[in-house]
Amino acid sequence: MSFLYPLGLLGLLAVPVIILIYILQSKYTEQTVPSNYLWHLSERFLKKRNPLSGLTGIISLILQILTVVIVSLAIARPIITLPNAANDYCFILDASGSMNMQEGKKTRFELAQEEIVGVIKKSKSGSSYTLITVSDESVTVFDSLTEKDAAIDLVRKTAAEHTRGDHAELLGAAQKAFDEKPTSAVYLATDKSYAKHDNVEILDVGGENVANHALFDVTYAHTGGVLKASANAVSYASDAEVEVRLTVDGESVATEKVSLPKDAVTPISFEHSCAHFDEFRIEIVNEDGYALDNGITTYNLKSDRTYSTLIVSETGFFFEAVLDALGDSDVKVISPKQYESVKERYGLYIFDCCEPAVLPDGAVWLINPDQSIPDAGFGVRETVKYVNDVIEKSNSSATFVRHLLRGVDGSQIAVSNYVKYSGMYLRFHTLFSYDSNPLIFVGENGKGNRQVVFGFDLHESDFALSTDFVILARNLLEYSFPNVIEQTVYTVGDDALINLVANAENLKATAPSGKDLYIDTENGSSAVLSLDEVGTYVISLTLAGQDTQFRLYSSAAKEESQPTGEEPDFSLSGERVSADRDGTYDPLPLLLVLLAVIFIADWGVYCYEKYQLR
Amino acid sequence: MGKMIIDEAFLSELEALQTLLRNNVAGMFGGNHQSKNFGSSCEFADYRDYVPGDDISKIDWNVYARFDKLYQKLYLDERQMHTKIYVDASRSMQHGSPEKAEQVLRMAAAFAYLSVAEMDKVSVYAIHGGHADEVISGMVGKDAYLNCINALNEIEFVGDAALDEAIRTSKIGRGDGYSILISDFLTDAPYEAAIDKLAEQKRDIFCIQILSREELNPQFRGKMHLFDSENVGDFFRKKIDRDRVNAYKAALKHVTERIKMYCEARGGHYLLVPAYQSLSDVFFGNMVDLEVLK
Repeated sequence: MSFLYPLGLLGLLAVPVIILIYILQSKYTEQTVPSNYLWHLSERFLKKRNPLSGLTGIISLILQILTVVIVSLAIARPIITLPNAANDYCFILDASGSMNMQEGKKTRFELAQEEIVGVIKKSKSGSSYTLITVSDESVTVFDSLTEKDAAIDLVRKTAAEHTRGDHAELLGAAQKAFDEKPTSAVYLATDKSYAKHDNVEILDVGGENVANHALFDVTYAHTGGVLKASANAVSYASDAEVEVRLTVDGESVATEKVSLPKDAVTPISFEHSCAHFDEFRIEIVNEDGYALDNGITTYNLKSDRTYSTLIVSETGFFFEAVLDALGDSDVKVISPKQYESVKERYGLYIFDCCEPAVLPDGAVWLINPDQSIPDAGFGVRETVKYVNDVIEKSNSSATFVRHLLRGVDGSQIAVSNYVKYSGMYLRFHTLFSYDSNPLIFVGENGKGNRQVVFGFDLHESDFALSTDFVILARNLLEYSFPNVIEQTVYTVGDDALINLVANAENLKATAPSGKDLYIDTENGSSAVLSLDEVGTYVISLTLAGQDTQFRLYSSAAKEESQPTGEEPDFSLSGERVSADRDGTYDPLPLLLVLLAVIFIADWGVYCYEKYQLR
Repeated sequence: MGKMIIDEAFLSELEALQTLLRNNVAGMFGGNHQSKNFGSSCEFADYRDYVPGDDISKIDWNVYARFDKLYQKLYLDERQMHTKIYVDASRSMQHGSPEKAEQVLRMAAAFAYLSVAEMDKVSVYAIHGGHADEVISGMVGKDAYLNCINALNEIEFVGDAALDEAIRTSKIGRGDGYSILISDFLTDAPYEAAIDKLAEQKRDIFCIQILSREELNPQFRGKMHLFDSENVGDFFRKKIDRDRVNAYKAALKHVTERIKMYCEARGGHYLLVPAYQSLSDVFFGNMVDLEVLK
């Protein structure tokens, strides 16, 4: 045993003082009374005395001495060493979406927190604590923390995620923690059931038969002024009668009572006449243990398809024709000389067989550039003539390339002359090439704008006469003028693709919880937004000086809707070794309790003696 | 300032009261108390045959006219009583708050006034040791009361008091009124002999026990060394706790009941009067209830 403040033991000097006072106070009090006759006579009437009554004085003295001793000890703060009593604790806390499910008044996650706090409280001081939360990824909240209160505080501050639980991630995090510290007692707090588990103690917070129904797989079609929406619903715990509601633009337009047999996927569909809609929501109205999976909101993907395009060409016929055919562009054609005096800004600049001295700020198509352009991301080597051969369509498996070449046959495109380029940016993607020389390639130029390069003149190719030209032009236009978002319904844990449109500023996303997520727009033509919450994300940006918002919905993960499921074994490989760690025990709370008890006892003895309470 | 303060209004109220005597009065002089003997009062009692030598003025001539025989009317006799008040003047009477002595003197004065108001003779004795010192002797009439009563304030409460010896050696008288003993009776001296002596002399006995608040309900606790005020050599050294106090109260009850029984067995009265109790309550309450006064 050691003392934090040994000087506190000086308080023990009060013990002899108390004894002295007791001795002095034990003297008889003298008093003169009119007559002692009755006092002497009282001897005859005195009943048999309680032997304890004679001890009250000494009991009081003992209690007072004990009080002084305990107060002195409490001030000295003794720390008792308990050999090999401490332990290393590693808590793996399942933070997946299903942990948000209600179990009575608390969620499973809150129950898991209480379980962990309970283990920490019961542990001996001197132990160390590690907490790892795991959902689709693992996060070490604290590692080898030795302060109980701090550990408890941090456990209580953790929050459940909404994402899918990843068993491999869970097991991996536990195994890693166990490998790093084989002395650890590993606790897994989860709502999953594990038939077998080794080297780990399961803190099971999963309830059985928690009423839960879920709605997912929402699809829709809006044609002829009729919105046809459908979804699938399922009830997990038992057969259920539920009410499903369709809300369009905030107004409830249809409800339907649906019988959901247990664990059976039941399709639900609605039809609603409306010329236009911004959003609709299908939801199960009935309350259950997990509210987040009861509805999905779908937003109408709106985008401004009118592009302002400037074609700089002496003979811009092909491009003007195809853009007119696609019908989305506001096209203006000027000669290269006229371009020198252009002041207006355009979304897309097409330089057909000419090169600007400086690349404009916007999407750029460079057709047959035979001179190097600053920031264009490539250099011109030579012009190859009299080829008259078929060019090759890229067979890249990259999603990006396949997306740009979707619908393009590309098997019979021939060119007679072409330009060889060198020193291309690595971030450029080749769509067509000839003899390993890129002929049509796209990418982000040195100004951060999307750029398309044709290495040949359309007049010296049959490409402009094929349907592939129209299809590729459409794809390239979508690339040059991408939608800010391509999809409005995701599942939590997915990454939403945010296209960085040229001239877009102040891009940020707001999560359902209200948290602002700032998106890096400095690099690349798109950004990824990790959807960690269930609900509506709002993407805000300023486009050509105008504030614009896009919304997408992150729905609950289907896997997390099922209350419990039998999981594979959870076995940590390795042998647990003894921590050989001495624990400490701070007896201060015990001393304070003792002090209170003694104080009450002393007061009782005082009252017994003073007021003869019997 | 004397210890005895009697309110004049209270004295006026006392005149409405009258003492009730149990024994046949045997006073020598006429007074307000009816004797069992026939006398010269105005109250008719009976007839008897006239014998020569009787006062002819008391012959009932109406009866003679009816029965042709002489009958003499008899009237009740009314005698003057001699109230004797014995005051315990020991040191112990000076204790308590208020002091027992104050209550003793007030009661003696009040009784004295009550007696003189009934045209009785009053004597007051202060008992010191075995002597009954006559403080007021044969006081008759209200004028004498006003002149003499202040003598009570001259009584010194010192030493001890032996009631038995003091009363036996004093002039007790016979059958001529109340003998009132005012004391705390907290003594192992045989006061019973004094009561017996008074009863033997056919006096109406009235024992008044005056006790202070502390004596009735002792408050001190813990280890106590108690000295007797009348005997320094007598001490009581004990731890006083609730058991001891209960025993004390039992002893007090035993003592008071014993005095009461002793008095009542001898035709007397007993009254326990706390030193703090008002005279009005005592005289118009306790004593009327006890049928000492009416």
